[in-house]
Amino acid sequence: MENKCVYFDGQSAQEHPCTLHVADDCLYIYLTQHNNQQLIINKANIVNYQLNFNHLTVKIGTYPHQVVECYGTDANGLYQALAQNSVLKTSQGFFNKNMLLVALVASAVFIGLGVFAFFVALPWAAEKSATLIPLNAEKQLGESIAASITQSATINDSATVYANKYVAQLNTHTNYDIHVTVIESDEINAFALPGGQLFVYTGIIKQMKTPEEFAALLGHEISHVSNQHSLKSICRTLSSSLFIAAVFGDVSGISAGIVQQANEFKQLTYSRELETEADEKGLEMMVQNKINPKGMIDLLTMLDNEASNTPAVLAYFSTHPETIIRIKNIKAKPIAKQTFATAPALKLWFDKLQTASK
Amino acid sequence: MENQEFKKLLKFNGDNSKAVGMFIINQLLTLVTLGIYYPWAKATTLKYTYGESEYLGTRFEFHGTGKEMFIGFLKAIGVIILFYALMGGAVWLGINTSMVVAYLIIAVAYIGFLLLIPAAIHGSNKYRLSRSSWRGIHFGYRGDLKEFTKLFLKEMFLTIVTIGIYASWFHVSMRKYVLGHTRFGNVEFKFTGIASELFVIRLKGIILTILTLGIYGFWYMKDIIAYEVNNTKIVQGEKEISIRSTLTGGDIFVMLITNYLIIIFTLGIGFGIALNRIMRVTYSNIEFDSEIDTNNLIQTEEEYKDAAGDDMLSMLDVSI
Repeated sequence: MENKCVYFDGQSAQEHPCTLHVADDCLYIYLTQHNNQQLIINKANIVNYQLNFNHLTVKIGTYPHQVVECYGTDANGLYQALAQNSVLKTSQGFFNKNMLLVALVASAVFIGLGVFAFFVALPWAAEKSATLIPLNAEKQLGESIAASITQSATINDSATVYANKYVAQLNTHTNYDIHVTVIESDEINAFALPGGQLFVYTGIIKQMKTPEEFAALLGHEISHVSNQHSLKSICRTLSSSLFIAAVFGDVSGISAGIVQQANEFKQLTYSRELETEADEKGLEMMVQNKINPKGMIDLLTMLDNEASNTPAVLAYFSTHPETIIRIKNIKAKPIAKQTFATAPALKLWFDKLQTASK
Repeated sequence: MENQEFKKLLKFNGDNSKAVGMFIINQLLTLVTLGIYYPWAKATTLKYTYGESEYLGTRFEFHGTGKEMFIGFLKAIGVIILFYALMGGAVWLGINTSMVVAYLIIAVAYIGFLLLIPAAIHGSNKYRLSRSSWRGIHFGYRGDLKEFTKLFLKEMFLTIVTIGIYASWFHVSMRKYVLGHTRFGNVEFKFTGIASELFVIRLKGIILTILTLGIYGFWYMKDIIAYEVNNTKIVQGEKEISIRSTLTGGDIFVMLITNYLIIIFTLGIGFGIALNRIMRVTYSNIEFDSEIDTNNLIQTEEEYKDAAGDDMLSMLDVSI
């Protein structure tokens, strides 16, 4: 590329070809068509200078500025020479050759922060905010969900009475009032709502062989309640949806669909952590109530058998960790090795419950 | 001017990686700062498009800064907040006290807003042109705000009472005023368009665009661009330079369709490439019958500082 420097005096657009020399405190301009007439520019009078690829522009003096423009390979060298004096201002910091690289790195960092916010910071904040919700509000929320469930389901009233008599025998170590509702259904299912409402299907009760298995189920579900798992789960889902809506403008279209799927996957792994926690806390509750912890292993084994027999249970257990892993995990706990005899009261209410569920 | 040889004198040097990088950075910073970075992003884009535009071997320069435009941006936002506050106040009064007062306030707000349009056009031209230079010679706008506002309101009134038929005359009159008061050193500009011709172009364009289900729109666009460009003259002393557009409907069609595809398939990242393509196609289709006498192009502009109009214009989305 041909090197070319031109000086403009700020008064007219007439081109004055020139050569430049950068000294410590001055810029020398030699006008080649005027017998190399020398212009000495004090560096303090340089307003700014910028390099735009191989195009250097130096702005000099007060308005109307004198301008020197250089094209070609010399421009880089002259820019470096000017840049050595830090007093001078250079404008347009973004305008360099690595613009695209800077942009890509910035995008990667930005996307990384977004991913971190979505998968780490946001769930953490959502869970923290869940703990701030007052107990009353939590109970109200649970009751309103419970009301909508009982409307569309058949309640087994006598089984419900016996199940609650069974619960009354236990020290549940929780601030929540636990209330069990038995739903008439062959589905192998049970779940906990925020505030202490538990739902157990007759299908799962029918499959149980010992009172300890029912204690294990209750222990598991009660620990979901005590540790506010459902509430946290709701807060997380809510915050995730809000985040998606905020980032993508609205939750529609292809991109939102992809993100939605990622969100569901996240819920799945989240649930597994909580199920494991609920198993462990449930086991502790059993031991504290002197209930044989083998009941938990029996319950899980029963669920595992049922899962392999009937596809109906797949829906519920898709969110639970593989039952075999759960059984292994429970067996590894030292407290699971303790043994207790079955309390007569528990046996009494459990038998009545099972009869009522048949 | 028959047999005049027209030449392409404008060149766009834009580089794709640079444009794409600039666009991404602008978008990210605007997003992260919740829109506050917008004036700086705009300044960067203008510096880029000016700096890559070349006439007779020398690039143009945009001297405006993000800070200047930010102040203008704040003023524009202030005006808009004031407008909505007046509207909100009117609604409140309408509910609680008298409807008459409410209508009065709404009328005042709208008239105030209408008065701001010419002020925005004036301010935008004054700022933008004063910040543009080539070979150290600054552009400038010498329009008078009062005179322009009167003209604007008169023409606006005529357009309203003729239910829009007068719009072409309104447009030409605005163009004549603005270009007639634009300076580039001692070079002047003028607009020689005849409004009735524009009226015919628009009428034909609208009818054919509807009849062809939008396909004629590209050729309509071509006619409008040709009308604007071909009727713009550059005047330097006794000399008058004619400009013409060689853009065809097909050129516009291909450019817009490909740009659309580029933006869609790069998920918006290719916006910089699309910008470069628009600039290149535009410059390669503008021809001049002669050059400006650069040796006699003399600096005439005073220094000027105020950026309010520039942002007002883009916020109101008025193009002229």
